[in-house]
Parts: sequence; C-alpha cells; structure tokens
Amino acid sequence: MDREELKRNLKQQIVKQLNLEEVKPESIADDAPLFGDGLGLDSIDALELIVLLDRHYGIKITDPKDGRTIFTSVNTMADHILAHLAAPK
Amino acid sequence: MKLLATTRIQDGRLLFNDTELAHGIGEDSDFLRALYGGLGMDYPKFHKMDRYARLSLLAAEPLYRKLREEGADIVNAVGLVTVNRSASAATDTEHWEPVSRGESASPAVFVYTLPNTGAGEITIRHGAFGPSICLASEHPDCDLLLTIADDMIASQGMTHVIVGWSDIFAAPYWSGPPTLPFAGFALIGLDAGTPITPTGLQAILTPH
Repeated sequence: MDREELKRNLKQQIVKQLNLEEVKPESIADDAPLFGDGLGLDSIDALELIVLLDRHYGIKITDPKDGRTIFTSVNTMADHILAHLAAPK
Repeated sequence: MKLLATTRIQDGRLLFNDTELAHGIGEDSDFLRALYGGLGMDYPKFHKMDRYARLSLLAAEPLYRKLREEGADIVNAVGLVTVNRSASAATDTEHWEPVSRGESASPAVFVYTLPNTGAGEITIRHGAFGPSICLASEHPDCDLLLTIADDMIASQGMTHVIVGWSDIFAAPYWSGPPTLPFAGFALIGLDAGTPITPTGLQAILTPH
C-alpha cells in the first residue's frame, strides 16, 4: 500500500471513527500529535483507535502501552501498519 | 417554588418559553445537529455524544444561558433532576449490534450505555457541581420531582433546580408508534415567577 494513500485513508478513518465533525481530514498534519495539544483526543478516543486498527487493518494491540508510541501521530500509525503488512505471516 | 423558564424540543423545534430558537428536520442525528447549529453552540464534544445525551444537552442549554446571564452560581447552587422512560436503550442496542455479530464493540458507544449520561453531560458542559439525580419511569411523577426540587432548595442550598424529561423513545422500552425525540425542561427557583404545580410541570414534561 502506498504510504501517502495510507495516511489519507487514516485521516478519514480517524475523523469518522472518532466523530470529529468539525475537523477536516486534510487539516490533520502527518506529524501533528493526536493527543494533548494536537487533535486533543482523550482516553476513549485511544480505545477507538485500537478498534480502528483491528477493524480496518487486522492489527490487534494487546498492550495499551504500545498505543502511546503507535498513536503519536498519523506518521507513526502509518509506520506501524506498513511494518505489520510487511511482516512475514 | 416558581417556574422561571421552560424549554421544549418537539416536532423538530426547540422552544424557549414557547419562542422558537432553532429547528431541524431529518433523522435523529441530523435533527439534533441542526438544533446545535441553530443555538450557535461551539462544543466539539457534542458530536461524540449519543442521541439521548445530545437531546438532553440541547434542552438544558437555553436555561443555563439564562442562569448565566442573570449571574446565578451555576457551579455550586443549581441542582438538576432528569427523568425519562427509555434510559439508554437506544445506545444499549447500538452497542449490542456489533457484539452480536462477533465484532469489536465501540468504546465511544459503550460509555453512553448508562441512563445518567444526559445529566452527566449537562453538568460537565456547565461546570455544575450541585446535586443531580437521574430517574427512569414510565411517566414523569411530578409530585416526586417537585419534592426532590424542593429538597434541593430547602435543604441543600440550591437557588435553582432544573427538572427535565428527555427521551428518544427507543426500543425495547418504547413499543408505541415511531415518535420523534422529545424533551421538556423547567427552570425552577424562588425568584418571581408563576407558582409551579405538579399539573403545571406535567404539561411541560409531556409531549402534546
């Protein structure tokens, strides 16, 4: 999967899954923090992102601490997904 | 105790003291979003709420605005009593559907599978730390509701109490014909106003 296309899809999926109705997907910078000063997501949103990865990419995050790294930004989410897809099955 | 103001959401309109502040059409979510826009609200968390919490928040909004304009101590001296029939049935169902298919449940939906989310979101929105209570009953028991409001004022130091019914009439607790969301809220206090009676409150909290 093309990395730029993946990031575009991710932004759309994040906006839809998290009901960020006042956020345009294209306004999310690739390296903007998803939590804190960035999109301002909360702990429930973090759980929704775990569900998003499972539903759309078949990735299961069993240790929530891994989410801190994976969900830093759209870039880090894309890195994790691409690494998962490239890993030998 | 006196009736100081009312809001009603019925037939696609949001009325404050019988004056229309906003209106909307469409399915539940579109309709509620239209009312949100009509009130000129800027509260992104609204979009993450379930329909019951959204309906409750919208119905309460004009009453808290009035309190704020009049300098009431919303943080410490405003009580809240909410009541409805269907509790969180609509969201319970929404939560159950993916689970029944063996899919992952949505955490954002799950957190609204409680009957007191309407009251909770109202108090969070307005930073209110006064007493609040949530009741579920077939019909509003207005004698009981006024007794609770009176206790909040007489014994708990509240200057005002908001009493509200909000329901989206969801299965399985609603077996009647399809009914649009309805909310009726009353602001009660000791200021100048019309004396509030159980019959008067019933008329506010009941669709008609």
